[in-house]
Amino acid sequence: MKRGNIKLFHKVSIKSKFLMMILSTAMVCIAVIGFQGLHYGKDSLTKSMYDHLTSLKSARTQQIESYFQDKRSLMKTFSTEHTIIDAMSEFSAGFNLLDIYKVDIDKNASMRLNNFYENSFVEMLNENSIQEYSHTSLVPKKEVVKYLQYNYIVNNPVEVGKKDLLESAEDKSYYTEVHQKFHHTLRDIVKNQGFDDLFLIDSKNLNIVYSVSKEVDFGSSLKNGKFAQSSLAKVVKDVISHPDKGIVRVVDFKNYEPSYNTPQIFFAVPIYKGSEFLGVLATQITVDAINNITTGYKNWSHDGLGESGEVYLVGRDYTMRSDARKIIEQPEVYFSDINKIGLDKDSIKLITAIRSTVLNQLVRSEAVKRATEGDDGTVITRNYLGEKVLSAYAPLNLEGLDWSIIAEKEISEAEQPIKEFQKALLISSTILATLITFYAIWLAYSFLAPINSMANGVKNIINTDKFTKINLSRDDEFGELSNNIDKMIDTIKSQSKEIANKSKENDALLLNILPQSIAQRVKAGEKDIAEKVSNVAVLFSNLKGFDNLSQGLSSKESIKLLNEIINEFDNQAQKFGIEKITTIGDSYMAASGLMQPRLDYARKLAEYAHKMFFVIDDFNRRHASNLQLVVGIDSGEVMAGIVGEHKFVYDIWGESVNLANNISHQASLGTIRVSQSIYEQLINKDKYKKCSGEILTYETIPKDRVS
Amino acid sequence: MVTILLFTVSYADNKLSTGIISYTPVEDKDSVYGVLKCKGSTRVGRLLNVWVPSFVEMYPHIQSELSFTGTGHGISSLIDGSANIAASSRKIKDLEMETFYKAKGYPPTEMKVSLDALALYVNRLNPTPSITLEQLDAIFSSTRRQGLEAIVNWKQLGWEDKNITVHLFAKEAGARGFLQKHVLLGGEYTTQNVVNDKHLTALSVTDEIEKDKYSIGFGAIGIDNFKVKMLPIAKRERYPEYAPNTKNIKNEKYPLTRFLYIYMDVPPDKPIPKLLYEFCKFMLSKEGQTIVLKDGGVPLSPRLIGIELAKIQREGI
Repeated sequence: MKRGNIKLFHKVSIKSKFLMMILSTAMVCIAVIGFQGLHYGKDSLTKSMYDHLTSLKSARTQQIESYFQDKRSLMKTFSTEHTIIDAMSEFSAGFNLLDIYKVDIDKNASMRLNNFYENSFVEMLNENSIQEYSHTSLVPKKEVVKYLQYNYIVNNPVEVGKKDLLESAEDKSYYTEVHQKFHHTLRDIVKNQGFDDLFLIDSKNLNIVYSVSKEVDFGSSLKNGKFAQSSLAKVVKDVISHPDKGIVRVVDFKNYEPSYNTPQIFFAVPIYKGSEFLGVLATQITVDAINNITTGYKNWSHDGLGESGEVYLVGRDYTMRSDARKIIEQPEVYFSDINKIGLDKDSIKLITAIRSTVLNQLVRSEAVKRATEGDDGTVITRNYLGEKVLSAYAPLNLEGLDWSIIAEKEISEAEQPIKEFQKALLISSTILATLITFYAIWLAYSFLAPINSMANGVKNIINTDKFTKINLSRDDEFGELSNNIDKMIDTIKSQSKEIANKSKENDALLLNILPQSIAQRVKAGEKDIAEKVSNVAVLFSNLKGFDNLSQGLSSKESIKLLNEIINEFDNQAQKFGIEKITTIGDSYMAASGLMQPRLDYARKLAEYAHKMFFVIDDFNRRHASNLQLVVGIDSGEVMAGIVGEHKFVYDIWGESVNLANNISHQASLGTIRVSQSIYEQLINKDKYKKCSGEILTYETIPKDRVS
Repeated sequence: MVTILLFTVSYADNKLSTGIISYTPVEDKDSVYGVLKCKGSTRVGRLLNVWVPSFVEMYPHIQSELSFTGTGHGISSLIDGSANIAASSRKIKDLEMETFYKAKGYPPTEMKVSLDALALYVNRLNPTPSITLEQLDAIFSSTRRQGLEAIVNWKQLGWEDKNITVHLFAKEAGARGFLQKHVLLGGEYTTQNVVNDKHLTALSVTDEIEKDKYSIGFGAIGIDNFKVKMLPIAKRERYPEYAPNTKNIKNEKYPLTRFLYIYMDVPPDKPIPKLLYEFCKFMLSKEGQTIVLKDGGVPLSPRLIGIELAKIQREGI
């Protein structure tokens, strides 16, 4: 960090730093977790989408495969059931009887049969076909076919599509006897085993000697009849050419004319009585049966396929083998879609008419291509309507049917959860960030509150000199710190008091040694105090006879006596405003006008000198002693200052000091001798008399003094 | 699973099933022509003797030659070409089939024309209530493949201590072969107590039993003679016994139920001649089977008719 930044950093309050610390940590965490969450979330959502499609595809694959397996094993079982075997043989017999005797129907019946073909069957067939059928080419010519179709379809009181409800026709033929015997059971097989029709076909002429549903294939020969080219005929001929016991054959979806050209699948298996090959059992299943599996009974959302997902089957010819979801759910939307993508007109017509995408909806997607090549996997591709889709694909393992299974979902929808997840993540991150900010502020505040209290407490002490305790009642480290600070405040408080006392003592001590003004300067820390002061009067006094007095006395008694004198001198000096400089033994040095300049400095000092004589006189009287005093005074310019560093004294020096000292020695006992400069300032000059000597001095005997 | 409904079609005993279809002669009557040469079984001959004339009546260009001297003769005549319809009261024997196949290179076309049964006739004074196939084997066989001791005396069957007198069919008769196969299980006929082994018709058998209280013999059903009676037959002891009535014969419960056949020579690569085709249709039609009924026989079921006719079905006709 640059020095400037550090400075800036130091300027920022701890609270802000703390806040920044929490927030930056939290935000980094949110950002990292959010980013990771987003990354892994997106990955896992995409993966789960693929996994879901793949597992759905596998489930449906298993269902389709077992559906066909079930149907095959049912067919195999049926082919050996006595009921089927007996029915095959008896229906054949009944059919042959009618056929051999050429039992015909009357004219009226023929007309009604004709009308049925013309007005009912062919009309509906043509709606579902590209080519135009004419009823004349479809009406049967063979007597037995006419007979059976008349009796079981035309003369059947039940509506088309439910012709199987008729148990027996009103003719008294053996065929009807057989029909009455077996129809109920065979119809139950169809109904209960999920087939759409069941056929019994004789092995000789491939006559459909029986069918449950009684469509227009009923009675006709698959060898040379009208539907000899149909897929049913194909699979039956397969069985006839290789009539292996128990081998079930299947034929892929193909439009089947008798079922109004709708796509149908047929299974066929030979029927044997012992070693005798009697005929073929065939069954039919429609698209609905397959759709029920691929659409999970139209329950796409239950399968987690949302709005666009679906499972469908595709044949090797790249057309569908089950219905697209859209044609079931939103046929109008689907029809407009296929017009838009430009599917060929015939296919569109058939899809619209039959309302099924089977065989007509082309699916040339990458998924189908790969599945057709035998691969199994997932891919992003465009589906049959050109939508971008997530697609899981696999080939189906169905004997006789070359189909693939596709499970797919539009990308736009597949990614919806990812987008929602991102949105949710963003919203929750924002909320979290806001909450964390508030929390951080509160945390910073509450965390720093004791520090602030302590800082304020300390600040308060500094500002007001009042030692108020912080008194934080906490048990944590702050509490301990605050207690310690409180203890410290106590200590400082008592120490301050002591320091104040000591300071006072020091001051007093200093004042004893130094003049007050100098003392203050020394206390203020001033060093090398020395100045030249003019108009200063300097006094020296010498006490004579103290040695005699103190003879025979202890040093303690002796000093006590001396102190009595000196103290009185000091008292008087204070009274007169005289500045005591020092004592040397029994000599006393004082000045006037030194610290505080004054006009009457000479006169005041002279008056003080007089007072000193009175002090001595008083002392003599009280102690019956005979102490004598001499005083010398001069005035002028002096040097004053602190001398010495550790053991300093305030001293004055200069000519006036020397002179005052000199003249104090020259003065006669009990007199005050002053210099010329003093003398000139005195008021009572008359009391002084001029002394002889090199220097002009004057001497006086203090007033009222008893000589 | 599938419930198998056992559905029994019940026929009124003396009524023809409504499923049997009436014969309509073809429009172009000239297209059906030729000679119907029928030989063989006397039993089937009883029917052909009525069928052929009735059929011939419908078509102006048909002649007929009828001669019934036993099943064996019919098959051999078919092989040598002296007959185009061989009447047979039993299924063709393996040996006969082999001979036919050797001569022609294909099997004869077989057609069931009626249900029939062999009855065991005894004198009406005979108190025996019923008899089993095992006992019949013990009476009629020397090899006794059904495992019982030989029965030669009525005492063994709980009646008087009298020898059983036995009547047998001649070797040419279809009944002899049928019984040998189904009662003797391919064994040999006995010679003990056999008073006559040259019978050709049931009538000749019952005529003799009528006169001999202790006699026993097989014969076709439908013999109207109150001095003899038919015994109900059970497969073996403690099995249910069945009388040879129409009901038991139709549902084939009666153990000695048989079919009456005709055999024809139809090369497999050619369609059956229209003459034979239409004649077969007639025999198995409502009219033809009514004749069976009138003869005291049991008509075929429509189912069998359908199956039988399918064998000769002419494609595209």
